[in-house]
Amino acid sequence: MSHYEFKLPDVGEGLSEGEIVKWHVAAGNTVKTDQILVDVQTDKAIVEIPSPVDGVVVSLGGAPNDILPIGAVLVVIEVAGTVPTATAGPDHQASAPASATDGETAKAGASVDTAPARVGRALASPATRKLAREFGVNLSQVRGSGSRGQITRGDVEAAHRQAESGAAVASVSAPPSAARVAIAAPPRPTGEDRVEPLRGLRRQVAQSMEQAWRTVPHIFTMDDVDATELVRARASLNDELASAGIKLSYMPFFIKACVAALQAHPRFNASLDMQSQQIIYRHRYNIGMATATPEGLMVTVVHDADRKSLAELAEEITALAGLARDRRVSLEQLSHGTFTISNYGSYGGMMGTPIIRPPEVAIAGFGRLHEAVVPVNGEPAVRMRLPFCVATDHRMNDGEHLGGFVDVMSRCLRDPIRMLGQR
Amino acid sequence: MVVGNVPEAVDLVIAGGGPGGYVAALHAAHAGRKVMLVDTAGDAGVGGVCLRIGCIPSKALIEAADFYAKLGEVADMGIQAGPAQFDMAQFQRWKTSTIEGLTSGVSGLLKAAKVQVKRGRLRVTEPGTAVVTDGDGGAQFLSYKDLLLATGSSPVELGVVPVDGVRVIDSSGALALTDVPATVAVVGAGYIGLELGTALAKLGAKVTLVEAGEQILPTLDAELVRPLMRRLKVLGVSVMTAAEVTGLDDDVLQVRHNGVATTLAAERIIVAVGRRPNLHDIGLEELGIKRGADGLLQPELNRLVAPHIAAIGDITPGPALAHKASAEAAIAVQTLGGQTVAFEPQSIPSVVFSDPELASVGLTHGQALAAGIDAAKTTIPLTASGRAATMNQRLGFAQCISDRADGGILGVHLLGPHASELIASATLAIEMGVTLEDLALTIHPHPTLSEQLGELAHLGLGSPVHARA
Repeated sequence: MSHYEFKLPDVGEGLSEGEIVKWHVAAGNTVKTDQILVDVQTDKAIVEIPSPVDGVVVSLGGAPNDILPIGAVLVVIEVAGTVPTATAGPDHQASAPASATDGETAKAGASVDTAPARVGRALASPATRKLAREFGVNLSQVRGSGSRGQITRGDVEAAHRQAESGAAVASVSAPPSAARVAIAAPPRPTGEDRVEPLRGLRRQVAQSMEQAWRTVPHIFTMDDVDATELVRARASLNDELASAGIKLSYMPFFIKACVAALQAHPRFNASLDMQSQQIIYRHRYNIGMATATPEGLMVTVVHDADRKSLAELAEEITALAGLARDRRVSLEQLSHGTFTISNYGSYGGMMGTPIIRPPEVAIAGFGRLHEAVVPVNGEPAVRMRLPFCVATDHRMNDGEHLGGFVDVMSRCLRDPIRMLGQR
Repeated sequence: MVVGNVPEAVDLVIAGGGPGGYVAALHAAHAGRKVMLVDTAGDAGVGGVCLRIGCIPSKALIEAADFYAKLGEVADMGIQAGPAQFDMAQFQRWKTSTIEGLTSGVSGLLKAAKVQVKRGRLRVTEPGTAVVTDGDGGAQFLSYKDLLLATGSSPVELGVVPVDGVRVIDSSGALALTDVPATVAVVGAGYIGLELGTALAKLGAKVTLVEAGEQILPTLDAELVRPLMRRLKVLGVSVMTAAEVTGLDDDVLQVRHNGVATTLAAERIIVAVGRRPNLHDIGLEELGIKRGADGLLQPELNRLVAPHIAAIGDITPGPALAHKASAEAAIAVQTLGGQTVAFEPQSIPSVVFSDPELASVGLTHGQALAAGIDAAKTTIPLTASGRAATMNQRLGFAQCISDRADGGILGVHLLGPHASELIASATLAIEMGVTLEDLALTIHPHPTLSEQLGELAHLGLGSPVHARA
């Protein structure tokens, strides 16, 4: 008999940690290979992790809500005979390449924000610590970018910039030093305030949005198109498809309009790799759709949207939305997006400004479809209007590029027959 | 304020010319401040205890004594030095000229930086105003913008054996001896007593260390200290621990040793039982500055004890060491200059110029465990060092304390030749957050004593080369 230490594998694309949601086994339980051990929340989805071996569970690596770094021991299983120590997680899900994440690196990297502050030892050089003092940056709040989580001069400068920009919004009239203090200090609950830990999907949204907003310089362009023909086209198609049990929402049309613009402007179906200083133009058109769930936002992806009919898109969208609400989307259905659409107009309000999801370089947000009185041929007329907004990464695209992209979308939405002309 | 005495306006007044005060004066002057440095001995005081009657002269004595003693221990290497002789009077001449060279160097630096050095005792009369009295009836009132207190410490005296400067002397008296006494009792076996006792023993004195604590160097881990006892035995130094001095007769020192009264013949008695802060009569009460339970000022991390008043060195908590005061000086000057800074080193190295040298930085294993850290300890004997063998040195070890969680180095403790020099790279390692792996991947030159650090790291990683795992 020997003990098999099953370490938390990288179940996504370069994850650093996962949160235990629910255990399906307890110490003492006999488990079979491929039996589900635990649900783990990653930054994309809840993933069921199956046992790689037959044996008896000796101990669990954490309790629900615990956050484990990739490579940490998830569960210890007593097995017959001897097995090699699992340094990399075995493949347990077809879509997730079990990359051999260096356990040591992952552990140390995560220790910065999950481990309690070590006694005395700061992972920053004296000069970096001095700079942090000068800027009023609390090093315990800074995530180090070094290989072991060391906090570099650049990390402190970035934290300072973030605090400064936040301070400017928070308190325009306050003197700089006071504003700095207000932002550097974490908010403290007082009196009757309710405090709950940041966990699960909300935490993942918080982290990815913070990252996106900090790293991507956004520019926005908006348009407000006459959607009367679009409304008419949808109604007539729905009459056609009703017998097949298919009901079109506006989303398939939005997807088609976006694909048309992406085909005309490949700069928007791309990724920017600042590390290697290169631009990757995507050959697939995988359109993500932001979907609200009770816990927060999820983005499910329609792959190869350029090759699917409106009806096919409609069916897939309905299926994905249901899976998302039940938190049962597969990793593949959340991965490999090249562009994202947010239909925030359906939640209320007229218009919004969406945030790009790196490594994508653009996102479209649709506002509320509404009636308005507008001049038509010099006479007032009641028409359907659709406001929308496209954000792009200004490192990749300029206002001129964005204008051209928005223009293709506007023409398609105004005159839906143009969508038929797609390549 | 005395009517008719017009205060002199000063930008920054620094009280004390030691390694805290004079270093602060130079930093401040380089930053464009107009600085007045007040020392009770004036220009003859710059450099302080450390340079004049402490660290530097004691190292001169230790170096001479060590060289002299080695002459009798190199027969294995084929050297027959014959009966060597030590001339204390000549040593004192050499020591004095060496120190004069250093102190005049400091004076020259202060002069070049246009620091005004003033002799006298500073006393604050009210916030922003102080008076400097020169002891000859002269008094000068100062109106200062900022004040930096760096007044240092003085030896603690023992009531039962008061220092008379002849038979009973303190550490500065011991460093000014004109001959080598036949018998010496050193009261207090902290680092000062141990260093002086060892040096005088090497020069031929019959030395007894009388320590009230349970071991010599009572503030250090027993494990680090134990090997030193072997060397003291070879040098003929007697050690009495748990021993309390109760009185002094014409002939003998009276000691209660392990609860039993006994006597000790001693031509000279050196009292080295510790140091107390020089905080008397500075006018702290006028400023409303309180001392802590330890009798020391309690500055903030930025060294301020009150608005526009900073304190550094032996009058503040932490080891009473020159390099700590100098490091604090730089921070205090920046704070007074309006910068947001803090004195927050990861560690402060300490060095005992015992034989062999003992140098320590960071946490001991016991301290790390007490702090709740899952700490690993690795130790290699000096016999694993080829370089030490060629120096005919066998006594000593190198020890590393690391965090099992991430291999981070928490402490390094060295006993052996040149440990005082080697500890600097360990200090840098701790300050930079280095791990065992970093240290193992850093190439240490061969054949040197510094290889011990690399070897420690390899041992810590489970793959030693010259030591056993």
